Amino acid sequence: MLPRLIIILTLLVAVLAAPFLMRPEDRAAMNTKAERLIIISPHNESIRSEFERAFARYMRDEHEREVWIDWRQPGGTSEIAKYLQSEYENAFGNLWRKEWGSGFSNVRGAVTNAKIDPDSEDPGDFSKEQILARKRFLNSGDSVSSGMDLFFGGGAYDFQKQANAGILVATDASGQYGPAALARERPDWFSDDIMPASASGEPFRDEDWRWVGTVLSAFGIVYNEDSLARLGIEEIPDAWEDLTDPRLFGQVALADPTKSGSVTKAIEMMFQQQIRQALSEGLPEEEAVREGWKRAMQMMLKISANSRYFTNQASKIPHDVSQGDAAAGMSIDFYGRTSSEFYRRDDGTSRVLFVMPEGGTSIGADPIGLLRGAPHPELAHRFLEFVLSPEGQKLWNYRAGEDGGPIRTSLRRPPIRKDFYVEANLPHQSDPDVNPYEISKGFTYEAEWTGSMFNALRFIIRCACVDTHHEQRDAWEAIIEAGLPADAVEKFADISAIDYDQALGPISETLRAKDKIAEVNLARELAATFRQQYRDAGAAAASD
Amino acid sequence: MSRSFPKLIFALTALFFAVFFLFPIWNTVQEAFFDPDGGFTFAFVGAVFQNPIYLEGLLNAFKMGLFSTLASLLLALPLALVANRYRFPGKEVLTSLLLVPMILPPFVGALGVRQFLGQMGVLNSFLIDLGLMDPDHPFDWMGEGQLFGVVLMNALHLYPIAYLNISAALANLDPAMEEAAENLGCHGLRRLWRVTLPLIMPGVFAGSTIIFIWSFTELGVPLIFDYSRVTSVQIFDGIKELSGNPLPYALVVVMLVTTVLLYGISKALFGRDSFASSGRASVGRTLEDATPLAGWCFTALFVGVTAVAVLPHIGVILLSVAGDWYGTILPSEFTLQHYVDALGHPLTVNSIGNSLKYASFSTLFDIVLGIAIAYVVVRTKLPGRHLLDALAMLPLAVPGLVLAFGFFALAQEGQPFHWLILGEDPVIILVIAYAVRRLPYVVRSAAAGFQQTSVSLEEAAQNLGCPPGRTLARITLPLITANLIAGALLAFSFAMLEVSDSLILAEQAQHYPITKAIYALVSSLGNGHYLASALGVWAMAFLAVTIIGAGLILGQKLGALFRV
Repeated sequence: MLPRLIIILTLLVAVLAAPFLMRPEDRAAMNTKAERLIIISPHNESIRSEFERAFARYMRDEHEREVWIDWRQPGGTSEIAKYLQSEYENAFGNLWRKEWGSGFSNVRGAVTNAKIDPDSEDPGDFSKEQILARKRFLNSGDSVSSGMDLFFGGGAYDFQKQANAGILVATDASGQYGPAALARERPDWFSDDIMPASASGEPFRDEDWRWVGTVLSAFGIVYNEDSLARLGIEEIPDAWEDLTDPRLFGQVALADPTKSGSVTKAIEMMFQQQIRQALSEGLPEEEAVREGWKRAMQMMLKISANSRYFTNQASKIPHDVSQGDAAAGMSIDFYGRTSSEFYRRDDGTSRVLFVMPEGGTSIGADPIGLLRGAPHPELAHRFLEFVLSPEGQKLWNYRAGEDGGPIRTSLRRPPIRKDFYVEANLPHQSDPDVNPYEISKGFTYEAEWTGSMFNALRFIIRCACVDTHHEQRDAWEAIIEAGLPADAVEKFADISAIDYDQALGPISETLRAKDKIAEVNLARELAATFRQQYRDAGAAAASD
Repeated sequence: MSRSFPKLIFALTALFFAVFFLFPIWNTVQEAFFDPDGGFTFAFVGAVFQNPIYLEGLLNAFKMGLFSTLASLLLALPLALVANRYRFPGKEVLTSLLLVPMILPPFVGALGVRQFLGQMGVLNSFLIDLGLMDPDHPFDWMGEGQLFGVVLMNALHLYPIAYLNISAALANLDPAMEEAAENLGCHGLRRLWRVTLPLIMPGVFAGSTIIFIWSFTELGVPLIFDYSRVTSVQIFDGIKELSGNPLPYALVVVMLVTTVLLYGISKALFGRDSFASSGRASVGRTLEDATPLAGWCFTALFVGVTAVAVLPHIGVILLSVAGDWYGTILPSEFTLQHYVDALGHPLTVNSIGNSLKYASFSTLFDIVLGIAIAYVVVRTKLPGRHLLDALAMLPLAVPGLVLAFGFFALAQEGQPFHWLILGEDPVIILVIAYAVRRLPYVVRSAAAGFQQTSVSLEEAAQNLGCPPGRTLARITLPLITANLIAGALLAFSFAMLEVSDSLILAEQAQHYPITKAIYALVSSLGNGHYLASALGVWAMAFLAVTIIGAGLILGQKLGALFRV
């Protein structure tokens, strides 16, 4: 018994120890002499290591200083938001107990609550203590700190929320460092010709300089060349409408919009494009919104009917496409391009490709911001300066190995600086044909059209497409087999239960009321309506 | 011996169960029956049955459970019958290899299966190479048959449980019964059908109950297969919108009632000592030598089943070293880079450390509790000790998902367990959740140890003036060490690879246990599946060592741990 036990325990210890032994050496130990910059970021490994390498070299060459970056990654953007909030609440709680004694637990929720405006006359629903706590937090200078310097990567929406909460600041306590200080030093960088304040209806920086965009992101279609060839589709699917092609039946990858914000955003782009289209046909705005909504929703039903299934994560879409399990799907640009890069063959081609539909997407900024109480504000300022400089911008889209570009992996993302998109850079770029400023021309994101209906849109698609997907697919298959008879298609794509007025009125109202029971009942009714509608449409097609 | 000591143990363990097992379940159950104004209502549970989506989810979950169970039995029954009756070449090795499929959480195996069944996957490539499939129209196995994929995965993972239970039942079967049938002219299949099968039914049902409950509530596999219209996934999704929506709770109640009913029925029908075991050992069973032809057929059967069952594992291993694997039978390039990347990934080492922490503490906890409960049950005559025994085994009947959900709801801000989340660190709550779920294994093995150790040794020690606590420490525990190690190893390794609690309760990346890290890696761009596979291979190696270790120490008794 004993020898057996010893063998088993030895093996067990060996297996357990392996990952700890194989772990790359602790970089903190390697870098004891260098200065440290601490950045919290949802960016992927390639972006982090390329920027760390390039920034260290820049500091060595330009400033004769050794630096390294301590990356913090508690998860994706939503985890980072939760993490930052609790870090700042805790840090402020410590200050509170030291300076003002007890009672912090009563005001904890108020510290980062952007709804509390300490300068306002009207206290709203908040108590005096809560307003005081909020005021003290916003005036705390650098005495409240998360121990981190910068927040790098995410969406403009998330950064605006952090800025409003008071977690991001325009400058450090001295006023010398931070985005606002950089804007004073380099006013030329922030001109309309180089970094405009907004484009295609999306903000590129905070009005109060608490965050600035560094790189752009857009939505589009990721597709598999082999699969399309197999299906007999020769043209590149470069418009949202191409995804409704009946030849793509069972071959489109989609994510459940109630689980993926980015896919909902992509779908919203499709709606915006159709509304703009209706507007350009001469319809007055009010009618154009209704007509565009209708067209886009009908497209949505067909795209959904074409889809293989609704996955729960947006990143599965480029994966399924790259594995040939789906031929095409909706995706955010860098998901698509990163997958394309991963499967790049030696001759530079790839079976996975990404295309931005012309006039079918806005471009959004992917920002950076200075955290309140940053322990190394000067170094953080240098990093901001580097990321926004022409040299830093090259990293985003130069091919790996090009002089001034990334070393190991091409990052394949479009930089924010307009002056990057010039003749001289073209030969070095990994995506020379992509100029987001050109592609988004003619597209302006109009928040008032669909912005307030983001949740309604998710909800409607869940009821009319996700929950009824089997019936929808069966009907669409019958219709395709019958040669797309007009009456069946019309029946299939009847959206009167979810038209613009329904979505804006009863559906949005039910969702806003936060009455889950009413919401569930509405979902059930809508799903039942569409289930029946699809059955009828399928039957109509079969009888033709 | 002192009467207060066992009473104290009884009280403490009962309290623990009341707080950390019954209370979370009760809390979940009542949310589903009380409306916001506190009135009792069946409306929510009723709403589940009125909603076609949930009904279909339940039906699918039922199919998932039923088909997985039937498929596991179909695989295991012939194997167990053959192994029980005949000697054939390679039997020793082959019967122990049958346990291999259990060394991988099935949702990791699902990554391998996806690779086999994808449109450009191995099966289609193979069929195309053979000329049996048109390369322009590959069949989309996973798009059309997600349920099939889930059932296949569950059956291949769980049939060893059926095998262990059936073998144990066959071993307890009195050969005299079969001989009597033979003498009276009942031969072959008729004897199997009329005599052997009815006699081993308790074992079959015991195994089936566990497999059914396991696959009825399986979460990881349907998630990986994007099979969303099934109750477990609907509950998982419901958690994201927990505030105010009673329907996830109602779904949990429906699931719980189903499993507990099933467990109760199986207990009531087969829990008592049945004739199969009451008449044991009147004659020893002698193994027959199979004819050479039949012998090699049996060998082929065992090899075949094991080979099919480890296909997902082979898929995962190949995936972990594949450069690219697309439209070919084997990967077109090989690389070790994924191991470097996976082990260097910030999530990985952290998550292994976290899992080790959670699993070791929960195992320690289980050992202490398990010894205490087994002691009370076996060594004392306290009234209610059988209740304690039944309670300790109940976690086998309650789906991990239900318990995880109960803990999750109670750990929200303002709820009674919120203080168990230290800041955001779920260590205490995960340790408790893991401990409750794995307790039955430790209780069973400790109880077996107590039963096999003569009480007279303890009595002798006490006669010589040794107090009860000291007797336990110096006499009893050393005697049952092997049982404890085996039970603890199982509890530990299952805790290391636990899925439901881990996916639901660990919310921040720095606190992820290994299973959630694998799940998170799956979704990282580009090389996600490869990295997840590399980590999965590590997990396989780890579980292989522990299960084989437990098997070596415990021998034939391993099967007893999986019985209800």
